[in-house]
Amino acid sequence: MYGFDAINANNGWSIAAVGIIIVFTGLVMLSLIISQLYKVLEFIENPKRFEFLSRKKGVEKKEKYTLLFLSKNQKESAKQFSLIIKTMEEHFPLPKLLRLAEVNGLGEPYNNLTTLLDAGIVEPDTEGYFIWNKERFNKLVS
Amino acid sequence: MGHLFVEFFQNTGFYLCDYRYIIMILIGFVFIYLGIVKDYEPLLLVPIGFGMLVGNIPIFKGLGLGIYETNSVLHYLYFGVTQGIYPPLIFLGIGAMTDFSTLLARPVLMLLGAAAQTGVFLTFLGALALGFAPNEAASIGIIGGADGPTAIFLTAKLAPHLIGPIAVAAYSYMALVPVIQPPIMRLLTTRKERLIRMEEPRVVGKKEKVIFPIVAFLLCCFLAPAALPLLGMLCFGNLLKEAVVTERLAQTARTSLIDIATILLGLTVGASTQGDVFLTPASIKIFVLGAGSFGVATAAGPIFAKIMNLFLKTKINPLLGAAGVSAVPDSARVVQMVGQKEDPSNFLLMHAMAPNVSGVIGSAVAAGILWSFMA
Repeated sequence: MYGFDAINANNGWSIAAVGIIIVFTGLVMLSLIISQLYKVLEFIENPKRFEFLSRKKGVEKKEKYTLLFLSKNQKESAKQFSLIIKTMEEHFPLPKLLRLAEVNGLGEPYNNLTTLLDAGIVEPDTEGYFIWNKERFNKLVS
Repeated sequence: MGHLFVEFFQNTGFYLCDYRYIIMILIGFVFIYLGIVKDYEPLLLVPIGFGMLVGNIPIFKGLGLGIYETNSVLHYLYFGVTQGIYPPLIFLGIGAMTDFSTLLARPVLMLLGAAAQTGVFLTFLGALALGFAPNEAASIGIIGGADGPTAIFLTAKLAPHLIGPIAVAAYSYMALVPVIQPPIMRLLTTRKERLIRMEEPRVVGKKEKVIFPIVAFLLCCFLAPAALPLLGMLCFGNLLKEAVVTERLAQTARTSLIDIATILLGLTVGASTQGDVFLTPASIKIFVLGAGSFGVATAAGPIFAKIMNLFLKTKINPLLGAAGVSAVPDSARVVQMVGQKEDPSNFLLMHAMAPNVSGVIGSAVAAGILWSFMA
């Protein structure tokens, strides 16, 4: 017997479906357990760290940028970079921005680009490219 | 005196040889070449390749030399394959050398290992459709798990007469991971997806690493008890490694023990490919189905990763899905290689190890499920 007849006769569809479901169930359960494992261990070892659970909300959020203010020169450089950005796509690779900065004769492009990264004006988009954070630029430069 | 020479000549390989032995010897050469020159899984391909030479010396039946003759030395060594003894020993060694840290740091990647097992069950259907009996179809399907010991173990239990072709197919495709996987991965992903960078995994604590093999063993074996011999040994090996105090045992498991088991398994599986037994239409079908199974298993991972990305806040590089097949660590290396072709500064190896090791668990569970259905 061949083809669908053979599959039907041997209960193939059900075995395959149930098999896939069991494999997924097993690994999903395991991943759920191990995703909570470190929290449980942390709680057992150091329950004091979880006191925040009983505390009220509203704790001040920690600033995620390492550079909070720009000097006059840094602001000038950021403005020059913003002009280059206008010629690029919204998501851009960092080496391309650096190369354009060099081609356009911007002073110390490496240092200034690091400044923009530290200030959060240029940010990774988590997909391997970078974006220009206009809001941050306006806050620090304008 | 003349007739003695004639008698002697009639017992030589030159007289007894037929084209099937020559074909298998040539295939043995290819395996040895791939192992030594191309460096494709040499620890497996060289013993199997040489075993093919051993198994295909034409011999006078009845002398107790061939692997299928009950009083031969090779037959006794082959006992470890037919009774499923070597695969759990290999799993013990794999457990003792595997670091589950990346999996513990990002458990969601475990789903990619589960997705890859889809290939196993789809090939099971394909084998049924081609006229194989359910036991044989289950053994053929497990080739998609890309896990040689698991394939041999399940086949030994369900379809011992197919051990030769299934083992050779499974190890061939495992060795050809760097050739088979990249085109499928590139076909199923866009450049932008291949450029996705993974977040740095968190540091995993010692206690987590010790608890994991115990939890994984209990959960998976309660769910699929037939996975016990393989998963039990895998988790035990890992516990020996992580417990630190049993380092001496772990050291033996990941060096001498796994090496001995691999040598005996490789050589006897190779020797089991005797031309007159091996070269049948069924073997060709198994090779074709095995390739399909491996391709589907490879494709299922990236596709599932893309589906996961629809729901995840932090995106996963879909290339990682291809590491869901349990060819450890080759498929993880392939992910790294394909990812770095797009962006040399993108390091995916560490992240790819998570679906890779979960693929080992997944294929053992899949084997257990198939065994329990067919038993």
